Amino acid sequence: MKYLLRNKIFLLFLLVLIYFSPTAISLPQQSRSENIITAMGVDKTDEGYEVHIQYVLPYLDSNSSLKVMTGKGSSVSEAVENVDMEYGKISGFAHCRAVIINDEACMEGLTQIMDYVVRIKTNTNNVTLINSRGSSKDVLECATNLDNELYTIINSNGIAAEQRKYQDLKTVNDYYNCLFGNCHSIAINVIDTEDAEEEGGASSSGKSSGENSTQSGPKKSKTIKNNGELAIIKEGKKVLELTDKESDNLAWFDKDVREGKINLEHFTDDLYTDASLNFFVISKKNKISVNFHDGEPYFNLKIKALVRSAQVSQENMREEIYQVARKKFSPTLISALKDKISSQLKDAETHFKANKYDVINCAEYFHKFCPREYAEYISHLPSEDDFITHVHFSYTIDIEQRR
Amino acid sequence: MKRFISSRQIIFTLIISLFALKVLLLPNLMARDMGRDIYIFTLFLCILDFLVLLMLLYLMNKYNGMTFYEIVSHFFGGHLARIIMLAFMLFFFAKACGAFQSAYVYLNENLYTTYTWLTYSLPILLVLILCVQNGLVSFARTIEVCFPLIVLGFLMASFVGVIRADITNLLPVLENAGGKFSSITKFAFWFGDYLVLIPFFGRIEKNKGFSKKVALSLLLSIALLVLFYVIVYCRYSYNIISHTNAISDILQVQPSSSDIGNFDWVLILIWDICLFLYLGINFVSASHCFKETFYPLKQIYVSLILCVAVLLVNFFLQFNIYSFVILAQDSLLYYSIAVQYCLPLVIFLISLCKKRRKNEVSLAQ
Repeated sequence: MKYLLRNKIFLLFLLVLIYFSPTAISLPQQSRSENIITAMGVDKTDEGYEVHIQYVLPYLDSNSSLKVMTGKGSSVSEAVENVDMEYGKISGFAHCRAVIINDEACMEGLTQIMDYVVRIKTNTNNVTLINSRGSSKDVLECATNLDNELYTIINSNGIAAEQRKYQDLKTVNDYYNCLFGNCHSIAINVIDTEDAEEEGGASSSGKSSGENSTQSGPKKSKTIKNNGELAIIKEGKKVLELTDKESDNLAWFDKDVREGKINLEHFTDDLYTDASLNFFVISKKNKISVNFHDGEPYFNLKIKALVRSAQVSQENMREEIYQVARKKFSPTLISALKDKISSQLKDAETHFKANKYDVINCAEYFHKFCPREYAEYISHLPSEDDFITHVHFSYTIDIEQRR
Repeated sequence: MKRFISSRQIIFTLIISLFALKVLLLPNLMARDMGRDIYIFTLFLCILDFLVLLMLLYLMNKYNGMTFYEIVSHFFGGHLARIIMLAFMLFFFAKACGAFQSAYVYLNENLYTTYTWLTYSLPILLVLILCVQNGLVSFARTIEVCFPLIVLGFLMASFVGVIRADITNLLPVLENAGGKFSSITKFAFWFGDYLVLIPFFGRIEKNKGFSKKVALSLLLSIALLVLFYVIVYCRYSYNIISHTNAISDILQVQPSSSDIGNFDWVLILIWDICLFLYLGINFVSASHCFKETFYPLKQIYVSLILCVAVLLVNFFLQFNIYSFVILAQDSLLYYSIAVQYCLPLVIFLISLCKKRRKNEVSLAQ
């Protein structure tokens, strides 16, 4: 004992213990003073902003582990403050994984909303950005009724979409990089809810049901709809919405989208006759090179896709077709696949040139690899946004078969 | 019996001093002025520091067994030597204040958002007093024990950061380089960490090839630090300016469900250890220089005075890291340049001209 009391380290440990123990014991549970937020929704209304917060219920006996609460204010920070005041807890954003913003707020400007998000003490740069066509509250409530985080639903596209979508979810970090960079445009996911009448609570395939049914008979419920549409945010404001087909076309440009699908209709070669063919793109690699030739900008995209056959639909199915997985793709088929990808790329090109949005980071590539020529070129343009309309695109597609 | 510090402990101390503060807010601050070229300017400043390290190693070898104060008083006489030690003391004290505040902000932003300054300060200052009381050897041993964990944390962050890093984000290299070079001095305060070698003069158990080992280890560490800056910029690009804790933010490569939780918290805890050690190194160095300046003062009073001073400075700055950044880039700028680079250079040049007398050699041995 004497030795212990002479030991400086022991005395220090004792001192720290004496100081901290009463403080720690007297403190209330942190879950009573702080809400663990998993997603935040922001709606623009006539009065200002409406903020909806999906948070974790820290009780084991409740039916659902998540709940949504709402606050109003003239700014996002005021609305969050009002939520805190009303529910008597501080909003903790360390576990927030998604921010969903309605159309009105997106059109008015994302930057003022994002400004609140990035100024939160905890790191929120990896939060996913989503645009909801209707109220973000409906989407969050749908996810809450499913007892699932919004991020999990959006990330597992197979659950919430009619078809699997191959898109890269954009984060707050991506948003600011586009805003501060040379492109000023970014494409974020659009999701929506729709009313669905179900019988006996069975959810329709391909969509996530917003209500768990325990009683039989027809009932109304809401489902989250994620058809893969993209919202084009330019200079912080939503300017355009792409259809699912346009989004699929654009996905070929995105190097972070590494999977995909290709459909060929009415295809005929030695093996198939007027067949409908579906292919999975197992992996995709994009190689981009840019250069100026005779003072004109050239953007060369080389895509290497590893493809496997997913489904064949043909009226007269021969035995050979069942063995298709083992057969080598015919030159006609490879050529048709290349043409299909090429036409999708060209469609996307026509669209972004016509609407002057650079979500493929074209200007950024030229700034990186040909900084002098790029600076010289844009100095003659009325606006930096016009640059993409002057770029000449060329595509090289390489198809490899996975057997 | 005089206890010595092993060369391995010295290397670990220098590596911790090199990394601790540079991987938090500094990439963010430098990127505001230097953009994508932060790694080039970091390399430049690290090489300057490395030259200072070589000078200190030369002094250490030439005046083997002598303390830094003894060397300086041999060159300049007792009174001037005390003034020089006071200058170094103020430098280490400023570094300790910065580290004290950085550790508080780091904890406050990442783990305990409602952490009060008193809850933080009291145990830390007590531990610092104990560090000084127990002496350099115990502290160096603590560093040796914690070092593998810190390396593991750093490598984990770097490895995860590489996953989605886009190397093309570094292009174009040195765009508007002239303007960037002019602002390089603003960040001098975050460098010059090899001066922590000063209290270790005459206390190191030097084995064969000591200087070579130290120099090579530090060169490798500089390469790793520069690589870290490359990874950070490649990962965050323009938005690096909103990442105030580069090393812990880098682990949040992509959003993950709350079921997995925040993986970065592991690293936050590891890096806290590194920050506390860095704080301890500078605190111990400051108290060493303080004691040399005001010689008859007891060790316990030295550490108490320094603790109160650290607390007062942080009160004055309201525990606000940006107030300290302004102070470091404004008032402390020329002072740190003078102490970090000019003073060691002057001492080194004098040591080149001056021959060591025979009786000094025997006295030191």
